[in-house]
Amino acid sequence: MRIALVASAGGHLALLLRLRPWFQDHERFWVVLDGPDARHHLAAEDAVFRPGPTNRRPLRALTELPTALRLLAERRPDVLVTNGAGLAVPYVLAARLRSIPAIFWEVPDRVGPASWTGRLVAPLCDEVVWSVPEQRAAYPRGRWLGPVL
Amino acid sequence: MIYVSVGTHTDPFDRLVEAAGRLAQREEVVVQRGTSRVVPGTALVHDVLPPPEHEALVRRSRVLVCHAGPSTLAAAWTLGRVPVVVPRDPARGEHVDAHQLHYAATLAERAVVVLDVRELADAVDRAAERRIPPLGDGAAFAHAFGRLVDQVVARRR
Repeated sequence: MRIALVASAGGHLALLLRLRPWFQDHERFWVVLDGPDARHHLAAEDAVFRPGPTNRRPLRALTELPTALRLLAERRPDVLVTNGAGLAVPYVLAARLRSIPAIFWEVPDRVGPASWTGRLVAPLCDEVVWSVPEQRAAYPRGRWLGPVL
Repeated sequence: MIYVSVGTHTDPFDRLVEAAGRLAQREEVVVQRGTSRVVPGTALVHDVLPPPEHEALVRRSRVLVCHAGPSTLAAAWTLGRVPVVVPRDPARGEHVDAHQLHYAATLAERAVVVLDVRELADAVDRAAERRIPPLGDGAAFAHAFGRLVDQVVARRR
């Protein structure tokens, strides 16, 4: 299986890396927001570093879409997995347009209202995974897979 | 030594960095301040540290003081330590929304949560006295996630 892993740098990426016991046995590539921590953590991985979108530049979610469509066409992953943040928007949209299944995992620190990323991408994803059961309120069709942290 | 980290979020967190400076009047304090603008002269201040140095400081510190970011918190929990959490407040320009305040409200069992930084020194002492069972590597969650992925891919075939 070939996996596309999509995350912002910082906490999102650090959490997605906790899926290593699963993804280490599969072919994979990463699309991440650029940052020193991302460069460090993914030094030994096949990774594409992107400049946005961020919560400072949310419109990059649209301008990133052509890159997302091209990358997914070239790499042809069997599945796309993301836990946000804003970078998830163009890549989940591109996955949808390319008929690639996508899974959104909401991060454990979103226990109040759904994030704007989650509101946009959850309806486009095949599955939504909660980090804590309290996220049921924000994502009724999500799943609980046990404790994350 | 107390290690104070504001995480990787791009908004400044001057309120915590200033409070770290006051802590440094009584013991050694190292700060990762991110984009915060204040430089408390009493603490050793870094902007952003490479991940290995950040992790080494978490290990070497007596107490970790940090924003309400789960990845930073996990570094303390992995060691069985109780961190002090100061959630970022959007009303003060410390984050884009209130999610750290919501998240911090769920952490009482394994963190000392501080909303008023004047209480930071007392919170550090209370956190230092507590221990929790060390957090595991999350392999059970990762493998459950993998099984869900297998189902999703199989459904599409």
